[in-house]
Amino acid sequence: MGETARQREGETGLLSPPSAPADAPPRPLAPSSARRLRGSGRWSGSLVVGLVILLAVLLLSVVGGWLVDPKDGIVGAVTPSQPPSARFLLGTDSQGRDVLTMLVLGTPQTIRIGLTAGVVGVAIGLVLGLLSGYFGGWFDGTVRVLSDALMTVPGIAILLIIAINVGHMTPFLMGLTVASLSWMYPTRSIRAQVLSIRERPYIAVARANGASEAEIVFREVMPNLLPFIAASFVGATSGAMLASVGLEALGLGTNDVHTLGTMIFWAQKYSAVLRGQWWWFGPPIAMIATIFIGLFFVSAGVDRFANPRLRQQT
Amino acid sequence: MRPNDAVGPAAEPVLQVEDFAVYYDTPRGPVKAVDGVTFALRAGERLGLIGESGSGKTTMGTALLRLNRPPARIVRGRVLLNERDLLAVPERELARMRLGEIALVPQGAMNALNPVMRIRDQIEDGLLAHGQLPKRELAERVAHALARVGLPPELADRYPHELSGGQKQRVAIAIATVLSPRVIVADEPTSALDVVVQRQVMLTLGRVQEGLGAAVILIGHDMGLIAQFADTVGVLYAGRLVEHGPIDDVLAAPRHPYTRMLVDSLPTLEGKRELRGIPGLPPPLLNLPPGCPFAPRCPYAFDRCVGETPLPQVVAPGQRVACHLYPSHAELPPPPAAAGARLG
Amino acid sequence: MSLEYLVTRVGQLLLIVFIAVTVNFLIPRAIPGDPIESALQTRIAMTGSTDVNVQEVAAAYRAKFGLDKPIWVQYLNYWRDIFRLDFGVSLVDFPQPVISKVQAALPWTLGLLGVSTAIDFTLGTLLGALAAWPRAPSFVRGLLPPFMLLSAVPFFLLAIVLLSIFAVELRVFPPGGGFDPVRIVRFNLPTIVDILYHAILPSMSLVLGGIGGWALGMRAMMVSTLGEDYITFAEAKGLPARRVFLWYGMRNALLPQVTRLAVALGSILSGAVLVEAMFSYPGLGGLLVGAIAGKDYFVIQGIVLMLIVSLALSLFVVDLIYPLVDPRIRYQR
Repeated sequence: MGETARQREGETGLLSPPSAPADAPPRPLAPSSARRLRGSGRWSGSLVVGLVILLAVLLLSVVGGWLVDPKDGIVGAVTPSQPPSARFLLGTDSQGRDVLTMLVLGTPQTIRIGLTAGVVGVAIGLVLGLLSGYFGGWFDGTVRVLSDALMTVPGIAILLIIAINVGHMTPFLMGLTVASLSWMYPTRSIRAQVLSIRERPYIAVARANGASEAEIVFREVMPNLLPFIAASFVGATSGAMLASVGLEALGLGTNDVHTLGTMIFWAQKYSAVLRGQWWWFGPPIAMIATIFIGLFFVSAGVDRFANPRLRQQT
Repeated sequence: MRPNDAVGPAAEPVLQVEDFAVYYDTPRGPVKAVDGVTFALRAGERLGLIGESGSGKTTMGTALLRLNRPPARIVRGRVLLNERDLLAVPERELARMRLGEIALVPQGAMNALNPVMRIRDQIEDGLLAHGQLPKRELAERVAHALARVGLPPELADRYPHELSGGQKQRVAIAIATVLSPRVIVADEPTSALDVVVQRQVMLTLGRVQEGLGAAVILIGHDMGLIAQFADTVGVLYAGRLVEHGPIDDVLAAPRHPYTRMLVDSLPTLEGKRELRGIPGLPPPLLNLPPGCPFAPRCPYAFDRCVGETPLPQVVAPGQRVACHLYPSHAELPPPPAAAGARLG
Repeated sequence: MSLEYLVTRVGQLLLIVFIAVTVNFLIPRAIPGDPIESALQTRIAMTGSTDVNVQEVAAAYRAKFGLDKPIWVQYLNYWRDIFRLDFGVSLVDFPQPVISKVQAALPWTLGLLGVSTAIDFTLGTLLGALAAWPRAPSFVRGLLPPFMLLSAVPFFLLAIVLLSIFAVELRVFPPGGGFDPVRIVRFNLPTIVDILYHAILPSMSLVLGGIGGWALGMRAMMVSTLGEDYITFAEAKGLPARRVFLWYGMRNALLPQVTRLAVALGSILSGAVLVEAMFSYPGLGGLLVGAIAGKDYFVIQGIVLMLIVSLALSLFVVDLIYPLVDPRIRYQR
């Protein structure tokens, strides 16, 4: 049922313009993405809220980076298990590390992992989606079966296999690891769009005018894909960040670099919760929650103009 | 198909609609989908309400049972049924009147039935909402309701997707008539059916209606269908009832220019007349200017039509028209030549 | 039965199992050196434990895997062992077979997942449907935004927050585990109550985080269902509002929602594993934390395969629901 529903969606296309009333002026054949962005004002609120939250997080970690001493994030650097005070604003953990320092150092790393996976996932998705949607055939079939299958399994199963086989985990490798599951949604979304764009009259016009396939793809198809690429990027980044934080919390993260996920792992490992050391596990949780809520608003905002139905389906 | 003089003019009205108005609230102001409609329906009468899409006919059909949803809003009027105003009764009473006294045969046979419920349950639902019945009687009533529309009782245990379009529409009629209502509102009951099935369904509806002695309001856009079925006809234009009268009189001598165009669009037996559409589009109902809404398309329009809204007036026994040509004319004159050229 | 759908989904799962097993097989062999010995050395280096005789375990594994044989023979043997549910032995609890560990954990995971998903699916769907129902009390619509925000936050973070509030600060729920460790687990009422008591916080984290997503999807679906002709006809029959809402509206809007459930099961399972890890729950997630900490490679492999088995089982259950919800499926498929 889900299979057919999603397939049907791919075939009909999500953005085929609604039939215009007879007395309305004829619609331009290829509405540019810029026009679509400007045209609908409703999503902007949610997008702005999300972007403001994310920018605030980034700003905090940049400004914080100037204020803290990275050495305070090394085991044994400060007095262990101190509650927040004027000296240690967010207290210290039981291993003698300053929580604020770890938080300030870890936040950009977690965001970096997410962005790495988002870029890689969207790049793979763009290539696969374009090829798959544009040329179809056995390639399309293979991509679809594979992405369908990977979309439905517990992602953690796949990621575990990769992560336990990675010898020395770094934020970049973690990004690549979670990227292995970040390409399916972009692929499907872009493929569906390509299928719908391919059938529009202006493509036939371009072809009749003697444009090559490459020209058609880059001049006519790509510009119309931009909002969908943006939406996929937000989705892929958010999913990858969730996966990386989860893997790190299980202890599969980096050993020598602070991330928000490894902070959770250490807090768990040394029973910060049971000892009531809220200043240790609280800040990374609050930071992760803030980032995800920001991403949630952004994706709600972006989806409204890009892809209102695909997400509901998946 | 049409019963001969089954309804005398003296028969008591079962339904009286007075100054009925339904507006759609939009950010740019109210859209007057139904505006000041008045008519009466006698027991056993078949009234055909005809109009183009956008004339407010479906809005009116659903609003007669207070089934309109926001942004549609009933702004004024009375719908008197058995001496009670359906628009004013409390909700519990309204639920009792629906199906019990006034029933809707919905538009679009395809989607009118709940796809996940057996036909039996959908019929029983209506019965049980109006009082408890022992199991055995329920089964009998279901079988009887199906038999009334010419369907075998086994059909009760099927799901809608197992029925044909014609069967589904008959089931809809069976459901609507299960409690022998006084008034049946049939909203384009045969849209999306092919012509042969259309005819069968209309015959079924007619038979059931006669059996019950109920009055029918048949809503449609097909003058041919209504001409075959109805005793009286009401012509809706831009939410207003522009002409209302016995079908034979209206067909023989339409008084409103718009009705004339509808009648002219009918193919005759000889088939000689060239089929003609009605030129122009119905007006947008938002911010209608004062004056006759048909004036922009009317070949007869003169200055008074632009500034002053015509009110319905009796022009012949039982025939009412909202047009400024009356009472100065007795009948609709032949169209002016200049206008004919304009219509092309 | 939606047979075709079931076949497709099982086919997808088999494909994934194939990929997972093959990757699992290839990666250790692609890395130079003796995989067993290096796994054990890493373990000793990481954990500082010397309780395992490296040579003995390595010899046992070498014999089992036949690392001296051609690679395709190893590959076939690998598959043969999987079909025999022989995932090797635990390195931490040598020589306990991996299968006995994961088998013991599986019911806990399925139980937690099943009960929590049933609850959050039901509550979320109901909330979403009510949010689309014009007659619903207005506070219902007010519930939606907070749940949507909660659904944006990862399950296991909610787990930590709930743990610290209800188990550590207020001390109303146990701080972890699946049952009281001093209890002798028997099938009797106190045991069941104890298990439920321990399951409340973990399942609450899954439920609180899950409701928003279901509500959002259901609201959209319900809005479009309420525009259907059969809703108007149902109202025209004079039915009570409750009947129209449940049997004409919700019943129909539920269909895509069940599809969504089938698609989402995988990610719900991932979430549940992490929540278990936070609660040291005796399911696969709790087992996983220990296995990762001890670099118990073969147990992790066993957990991965068991996760896919869990998904297959849950999918099967969801698929049994389909024909109950939609009478058309039997005929269309």
